[in-house]
Amino acid sequence: MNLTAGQRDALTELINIGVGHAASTLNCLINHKIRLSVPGIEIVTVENMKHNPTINAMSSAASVSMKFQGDFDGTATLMFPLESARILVGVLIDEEVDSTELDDLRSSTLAEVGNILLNGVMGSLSNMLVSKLDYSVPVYQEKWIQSMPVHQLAETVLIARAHFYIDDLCVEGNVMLFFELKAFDALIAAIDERVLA
Amino acid sequence: MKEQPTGGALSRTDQFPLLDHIGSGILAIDRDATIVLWNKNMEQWCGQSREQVLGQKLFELFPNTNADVFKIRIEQVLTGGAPVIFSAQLHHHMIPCLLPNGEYRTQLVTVTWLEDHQIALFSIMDQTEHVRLIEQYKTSARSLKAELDQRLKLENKNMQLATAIDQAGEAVVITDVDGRIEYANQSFVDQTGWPIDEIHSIDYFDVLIDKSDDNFSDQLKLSVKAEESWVGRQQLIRKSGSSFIASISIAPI
Repeated sequence: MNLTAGQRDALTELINIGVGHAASTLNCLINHKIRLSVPGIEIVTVENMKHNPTINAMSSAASVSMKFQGDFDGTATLMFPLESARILVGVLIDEEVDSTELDDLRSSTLAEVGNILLNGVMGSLSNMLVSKLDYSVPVYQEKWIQSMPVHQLAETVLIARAHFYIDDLCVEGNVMLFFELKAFDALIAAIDERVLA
Repeated sequence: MKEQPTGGALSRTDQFPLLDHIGSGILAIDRDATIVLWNKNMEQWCGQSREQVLGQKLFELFPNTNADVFKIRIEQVLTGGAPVIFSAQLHHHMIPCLLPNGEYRTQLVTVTWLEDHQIALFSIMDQTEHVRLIEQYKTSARSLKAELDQRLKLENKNMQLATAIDQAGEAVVITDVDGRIEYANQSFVDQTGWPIDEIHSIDYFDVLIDKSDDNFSDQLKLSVKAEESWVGRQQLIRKSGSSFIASISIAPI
């Protein structure tokens, strides 16, 4: 789907507002100053997603997913390359994490970080849409995104590359929002009506 | 204020009797943060009965939940927001539940808004044993790693020593107490003419010591068995049958 420059900027801004809220929440939690930014977004079809260089760069990933239903349906996923996940969790808990042992406890730490970030983004979008959504409980998984059953009904994927700046460290993850086509159209229509009008 | 069923309505606890029979701690609050559900696990973990807890405000009964890290996100759920997770590593616990040893139970808490019931449901998983086992595993893993590192260091050191002995100009041979050769360095091979692949099949005292002095060979064997040292000069026999005089030092290992 082609977006106008205005729609793209508005969507990027909304997502940045969401990750800004998430950063405030994360700052309450840890001893490090954390800053989050989403420099840009991409809109791709599920079919084309497998050819996307951002996605292909992740041979294995840790992800947190949360389904949403309401005026628009879909799945929000935060996906980290495993190495980024290891670094991020290590910084959050002030402990060096061996790459081979992203154990249950650390997985739930990452699930909480993903939960905070996705809630920030989804909160920002649903506020703008003045829309009431129901959410599933976030699920943590370590597998390749293509093998996740989350996007069976989705047709459009919004990929937002998120940068986590923690002290001098920059860790990268990807926020992916899988929308059914109608849902994405509704989102863009709402942006046209409420932001760009 | 205690929760009272009104107009014949069931209390929240009565509405969800199954929650008393699951392994997690369950509590629920309404939009005003009043506790409306408290299952049996919570009673047992916290030592507070349902009657004591129902009707009380969460943020007052458990003042630690008043901290921003909890309150802001719980309030987001109360306004119909997405579920929130409070992980054990970042929070340790949300609801203080003392263990017999005086420590608090480690908890993973998920808070979900139930629109149909207008309550926020807290599902609390006790991860205390889980954390203990993971820590135990990590301690064992660290200890094994330290032992492995130490062994590797020793192996490296042994390898250095073995290389030094292998390349030494003096002949060095190690035998068992019966005289069977276990190790011989290159100099020994060069001096005696016995190839390295045959050297382990020969007996030092029977094959290499000159038999013209039977007494000496037996005495040397006895010294070795008694773990005594011996230093002196002795005639040794090469594989070819020729002999040479060697200065020998024998020491027990």
